[in-house]
Amino acid sequence: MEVRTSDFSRTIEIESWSVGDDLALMVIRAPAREAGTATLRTEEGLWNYAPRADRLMRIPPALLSDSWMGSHFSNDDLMRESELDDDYGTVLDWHQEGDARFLRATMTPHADAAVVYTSVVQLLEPDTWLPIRVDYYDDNEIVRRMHFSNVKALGDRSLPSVLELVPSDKPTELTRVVYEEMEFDIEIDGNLFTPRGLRRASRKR
Amino acid sequence: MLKLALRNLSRNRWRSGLTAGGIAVATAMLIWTEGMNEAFLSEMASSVTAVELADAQIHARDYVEERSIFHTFGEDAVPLDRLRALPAIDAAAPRVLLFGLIGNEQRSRVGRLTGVDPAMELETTRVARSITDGRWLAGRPARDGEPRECVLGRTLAGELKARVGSELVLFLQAADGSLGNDLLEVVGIARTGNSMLDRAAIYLHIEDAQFLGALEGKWHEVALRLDPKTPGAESLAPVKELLDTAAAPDEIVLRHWSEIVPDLADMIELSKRSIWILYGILYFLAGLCIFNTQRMSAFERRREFGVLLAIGVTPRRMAGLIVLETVSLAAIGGLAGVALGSAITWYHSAYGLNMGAFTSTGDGSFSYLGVDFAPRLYFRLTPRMAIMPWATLFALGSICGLWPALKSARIDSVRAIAGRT
Repeated sequence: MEVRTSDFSRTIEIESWSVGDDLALMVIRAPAREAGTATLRTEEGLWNYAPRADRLMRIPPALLSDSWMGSHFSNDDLMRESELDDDYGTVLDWHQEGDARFLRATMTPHADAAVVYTSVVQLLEPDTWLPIRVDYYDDNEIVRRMHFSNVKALGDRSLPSVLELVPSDKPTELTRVVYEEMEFDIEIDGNLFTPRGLRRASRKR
Repeated sequence: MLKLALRNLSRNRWRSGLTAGGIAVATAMLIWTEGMNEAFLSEMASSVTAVELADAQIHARDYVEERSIFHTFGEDAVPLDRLRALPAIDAAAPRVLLFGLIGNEQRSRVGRLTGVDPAMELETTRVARSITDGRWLAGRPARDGEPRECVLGRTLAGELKARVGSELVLFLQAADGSLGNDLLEVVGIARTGNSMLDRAAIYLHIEDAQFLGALEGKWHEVALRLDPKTPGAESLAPVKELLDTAAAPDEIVLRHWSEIVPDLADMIELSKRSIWILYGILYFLAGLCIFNTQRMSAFERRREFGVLLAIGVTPRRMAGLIVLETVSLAAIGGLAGVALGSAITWYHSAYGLNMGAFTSTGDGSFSYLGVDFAPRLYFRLTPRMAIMPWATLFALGSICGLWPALKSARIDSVRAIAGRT
């Protein structure tokens, strides 16, 4: 993951596992200064793991909107990603941009949903249904835009391997995630998403 | 003449006594109120400046606009040794300011980390002396592998259920974008008297803070304690001159505390002035009291005044007599009030007033506008505070006596002796 802001830019290497929508673990592998730092997500909440102190720390709900690992993603993005289909209703239509024709999925939140964006618009490649771009709206303004590119074979699937997130208020900044390797349907130790499993995963390598 | 005036006053002991008593109570109350108000306001100003702001601060120019971890200045921009050698400066302390998440597996809070030089901070602010449990930071930063020492604000420690000896994890975003994490050991818990600090403050050694924030050789702030004899903004001139000759004069800003928190400075000024409304009311009541007594007394003695005029006392002398009576009354009452008020105020300045009677917390501590007050408030007493109300009432007494005096001097002696008005 590469983060570029007006104050710093940095690149980190992350290894991550996930099961279903709720369980996820992300461990930083490089640079050495941060290696072993991890984020654990379960149904119960979000934790950060400090390898130098060998302690977990719960991230309070008030901090969910804060940046995750210094990137343009928020802790909330990590927590809520799975809730898009619960909280939003989707309308599909065709969208023409230049010569290209895309499937457009316009997602508007249900009346009672507690969400950050007033709508989320996804452009999909019509044949493969792979995402091309996602625009996040607040009122009628795009507050951030996510681009997907470089489709390649990851595991046994064909997926965009590069994801770029650009905040609209700081167009010179971005967070770029490059997927180098992916594996699907592998066996994962059920204890991985517990403090003990996390410690073991953090120390690996 | 004075003897006559005093004798006249003693002819109606009850009335004179009550009036003098009223004046005495008003004077005493004025002195006591001012003593309390001065103590209250100075405690408020000092709680703001004593633990955190100090008298003045130096920041990077950008930091004034936006308090961000990135807006630092190099250690060479502020030559501390030369600064501390200035006669206007009593002490100076550099700081590194960061925000981080502190806690453990069960709970965590956002804390405001202040990296301090333990010895210089001790000279500059009261924070090192406000430790209620444990001790202040050691003089040196942590060795490799050791947990870093920290001092927590009382409320923050309570929320994290941390005690002296507890170990806490700290996460923070460093200036290079990396995610700093480390283990802290609580060595002390501070009750600063400032609710904001008690709720969020984490003090640690400045070198530890610089390491965690990836800010080696950089500071966010230098706090200055001025000579207490010249604490005003004007005494910053030599500091400004010195900074102009240092490494980066355009990048740093020097501000007096009243410029940093102008709202609070205005509030204190406003409180000082608004108390004069109360004084005005008390003076007015005391004046009415004197005026009423003298008018009644002049009324009752119309026949006597008629006789005095008839036997050849000049109206001017007679008016003088009545004014003298009033002034004597005000002087006696005022003196008693000064004695009474000074005594009570002195007692409260020496032993403090237990505010427990006025608060609902029970232990008497209370919080007002973010300032925590101790259960005992120690009053201020200066000679000016004792003399001012007395002098004012004295002047007021003379004016109040004037009208009955002039009125009496103008009566027709024949009609007055006859009892016809």
